[in-house]
Amino acid sequence: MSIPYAIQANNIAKTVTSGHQTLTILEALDLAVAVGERLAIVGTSGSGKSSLLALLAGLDVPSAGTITLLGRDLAGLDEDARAAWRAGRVGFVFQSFQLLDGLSAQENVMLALELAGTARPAARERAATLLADVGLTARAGHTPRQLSGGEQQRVALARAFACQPDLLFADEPTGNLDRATGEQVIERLFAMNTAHGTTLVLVTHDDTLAARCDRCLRLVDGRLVADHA
Amino acid sequence: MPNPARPGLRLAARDARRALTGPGAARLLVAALIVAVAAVTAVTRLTDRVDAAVVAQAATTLGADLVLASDAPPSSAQTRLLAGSNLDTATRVQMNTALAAGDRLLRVSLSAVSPHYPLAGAITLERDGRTIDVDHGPARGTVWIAPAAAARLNVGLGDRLAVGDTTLTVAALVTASPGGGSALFDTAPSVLMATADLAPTGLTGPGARLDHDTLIGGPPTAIAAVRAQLAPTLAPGERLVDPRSANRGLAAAMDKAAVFLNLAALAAVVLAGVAIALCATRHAAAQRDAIALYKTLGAARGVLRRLLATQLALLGAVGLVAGWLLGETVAYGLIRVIDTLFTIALPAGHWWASWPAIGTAVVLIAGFAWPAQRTALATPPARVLARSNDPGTTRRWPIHGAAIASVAVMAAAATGDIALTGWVLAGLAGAAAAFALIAWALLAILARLRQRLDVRLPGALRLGLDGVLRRRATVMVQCVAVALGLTVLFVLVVVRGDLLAGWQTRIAQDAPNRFVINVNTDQRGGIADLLHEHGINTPTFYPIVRARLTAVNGQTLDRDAALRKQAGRLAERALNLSWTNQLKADNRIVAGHWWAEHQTAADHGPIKTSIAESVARRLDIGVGDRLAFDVAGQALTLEITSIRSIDWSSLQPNFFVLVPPGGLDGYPVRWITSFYLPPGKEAALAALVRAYPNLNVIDITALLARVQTLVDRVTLAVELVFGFTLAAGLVVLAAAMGVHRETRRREAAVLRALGATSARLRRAAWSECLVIGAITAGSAALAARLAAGLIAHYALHVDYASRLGVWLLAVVIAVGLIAAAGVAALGDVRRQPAWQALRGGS
Repeated sequence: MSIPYAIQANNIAKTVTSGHQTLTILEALDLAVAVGERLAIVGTSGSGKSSLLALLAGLDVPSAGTITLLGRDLAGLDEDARAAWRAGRVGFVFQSFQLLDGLSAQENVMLALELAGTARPAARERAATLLADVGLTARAGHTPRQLSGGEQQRVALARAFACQPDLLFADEPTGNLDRATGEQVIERLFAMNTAHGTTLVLVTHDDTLAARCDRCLRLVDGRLVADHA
Repeated sequence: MPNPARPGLRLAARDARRALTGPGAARLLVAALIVAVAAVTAVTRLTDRVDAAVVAQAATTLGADLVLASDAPPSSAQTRLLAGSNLDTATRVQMNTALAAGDRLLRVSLSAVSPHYPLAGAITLERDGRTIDVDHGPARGTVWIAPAAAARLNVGLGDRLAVGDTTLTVAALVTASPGGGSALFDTAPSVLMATADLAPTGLTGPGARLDHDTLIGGPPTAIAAVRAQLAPTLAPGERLVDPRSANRGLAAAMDKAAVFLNLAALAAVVLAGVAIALCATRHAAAQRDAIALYKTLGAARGVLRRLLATQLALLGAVGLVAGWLLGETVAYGLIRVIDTLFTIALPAGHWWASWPAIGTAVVLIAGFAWPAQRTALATPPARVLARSNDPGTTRRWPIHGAAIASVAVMAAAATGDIALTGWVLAGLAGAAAAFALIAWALLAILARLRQRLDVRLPGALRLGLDGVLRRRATVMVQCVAVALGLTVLFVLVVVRGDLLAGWQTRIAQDAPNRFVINVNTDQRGGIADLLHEHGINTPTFYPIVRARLTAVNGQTLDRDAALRKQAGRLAERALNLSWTNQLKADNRIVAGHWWAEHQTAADHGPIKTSIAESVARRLDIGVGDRLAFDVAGQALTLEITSIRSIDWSSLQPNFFVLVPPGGLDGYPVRWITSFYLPPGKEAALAALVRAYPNLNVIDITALLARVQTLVDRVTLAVELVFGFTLAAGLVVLAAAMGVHRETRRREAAVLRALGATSARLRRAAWSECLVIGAITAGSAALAARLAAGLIAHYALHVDYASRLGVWLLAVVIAVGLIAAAGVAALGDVRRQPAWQALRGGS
């Protein structure tokens, strides 16, 4: 059964309590992301971009409202159930790469596949293919500390697409890279996104990068102030 | 088909390998585990083999691995059973009778032994001024006689002795032979003859009081099997004697040594546990990023739980194998040291002696490491976006609760004593609370001082103090953890020598080496005078009234087979009753109250009695219960007012049943005494025996020498085992210093970026670590002093006097070591380039 929206968020809010103070991070936010759409979420530091991404990806739960991810209402699902729903369906690219230090580039890519239950030989073969796609065949046996920032992010891209996810979340993917390297990484990200037909939710403070998406959503102090194509 | 379990196992193996090769806390965790497992392996291997050796050597004293003792020959069923068991057997019939040589008569203990006697050990004969060991009894028609008896009868080799209706030729002088009884005083046979000569003597006719011993020898499993088969066949008056029960003094000394060794090992294990908990907490914190990532990638909690558990199990396996190998190596060395104690080759160890080491590893991993490790499971996946999304707070009580439960299990296993376990736990809990309180108070004082003195303090000291005060809560935890470990170390380092010295001194100086039994009431003064004339301290005489137990709380043993069986030897043999109003130092009241010093039995009410704990346990009786005895045909009823535990290792005369003075008036009484006969004073002994021929003097010099050697060697073993405790203490220090490693690294980087020099950072680190060291070592010293007193009093029953100078020196050394270890542990943190630490935070 096909679904019209990869993500649907209705009236979601996020508040946190610290001592006697309650801090509102996101409030009364409605959002729908169509299947195959590229959505950019922009905003300044502290505007709530990453918090929104965490909610949309099911990494965190909203204080109010409902979120439907790939046709599944996340409300009522515990952390385990949300993780199980994400496995193999959702990919991530992070600003700080989030590669495991002790693993080689290939093992880092295999990690996503193995956690999704792929047999080891198949995982190894798929990881090699993906590393070749991002131009890192020669660096497959290197650990993250032996790779440059751009190379690390390309490994992260390979890992993100390893399970051929329906949905990809990217959190400031060029935030830790210089401009030239960042552009190369973004080119690859969009190329792979197109090739795999993945829905993309991209969090960035870079308006130029956001402009390359189908739609841009601007957050200011936890509120949606602009939603334009 | 996806199998979520498989990646868990693979990832765990990979993570374990990564953790072991990386700079994290896992290596320290494994090091702590190695120390703990090695300590337990060494101690259990050692005690297992020494215990087996004690039993084997005791068997040489008993003459067999098992003795069926009775006042009649074994029944036909028992004879058939033994014949079918394929075990070696021999017989010994003992009696007290008179020998005659010319017109001289002497009452002796006569043993008639079969040709294969003894089955273990040897008979020592004196020939031409030399001693030789033989493994058989005398030939038919001959007797072997003790030198003292030969002297009194004025006979020599080749002379004829009248034994009952027959005469036998003196063929050898016997100086020692395996005894048949269960008590020290039964081990002095005077005359040995062949069983085949017994019937012609006419001494075995009706009315003769004979002790029949059937000696049994063979491998331990076969002995255990035949023992189990014989037990149900025992009739009243029959009992089974094994080497351990026949050597109660040596066994008690060995048991005490084993407790001490186990406590030393337990100390190492508890310290290692503290280190493991600290390392596991740090290891878990280091894994939160990975766990968050795994969750983001879709790993369910169950998979992650398996992953973390498997990873820990793999680390545990590495620690177990390495620790076991190290422990076996150390045990081998220790056994080489110990084996000179025994005249026999040390028996092989038991395979189950490895279980405690495996159990220790499991308890340490499950009780100390896993509760901390599993906190990583609570990492929210949103941490991948920002670490601030992970509050990092964890519930501490499951970690502490599991650690306490683990310590309880291990303490109970190590001591085998619930009361001592309770003391250990209560001590730990009390010490932890006290340490926390002291640390809190001292930190509060420091905070005030810091505020008041402010800029008057040197810059580096200010930085150091600020470091301590910023981490006040965690510094407290750190102080408590290290202080607990340090307390154990203090007890072992400082107190060990004093405690062991107390134990050795007591055995060496107080232990008498001669026992004199069968003393008449009117001979006491003369004996004391005679000994005094020879420069020997006036001994204490203890009265003995021989009595047979007839009833317990009105239930007579003759009519109650179950009670008779329960009473065992207490019902079968005459017991030695005595009176006194002074509780001896090696006796301790465990229930009820000791009577007043000047109280006599005639004061009021029924005659009070204080009984040995072992008697109370066997008869399942307590304070208020009554025992009835038959004393030379007269009835005697006693009411229990107290129960005593007796320290048999003191080798002093002790009694199962005591009454106040006057309680046994009117009953036939003999006296026993013991004294220390210094070397070169043997003339005193000869004079004593000449003046009082009825006395039986027992020489226990050899036994004492064996106990002394045992103590010396065990002391050495304890000191070697202490090495493990020291190693565990160092691991705790290293682990504690690693707790704030990341925070310190970032702080140092910021300070360096702001212009702080290396020298200034080093001085600040010294200030901080010295403050932590002073708080920790000071409170640990106080606790250790208290613990030493408690251990000395309650566990070892020795006096302890502390030496202030030694304590001060120990505290100074500890403060220096803690500070040095802390500064060393943080060395690379300080040296790291600022830009590296400030970049990325990983």
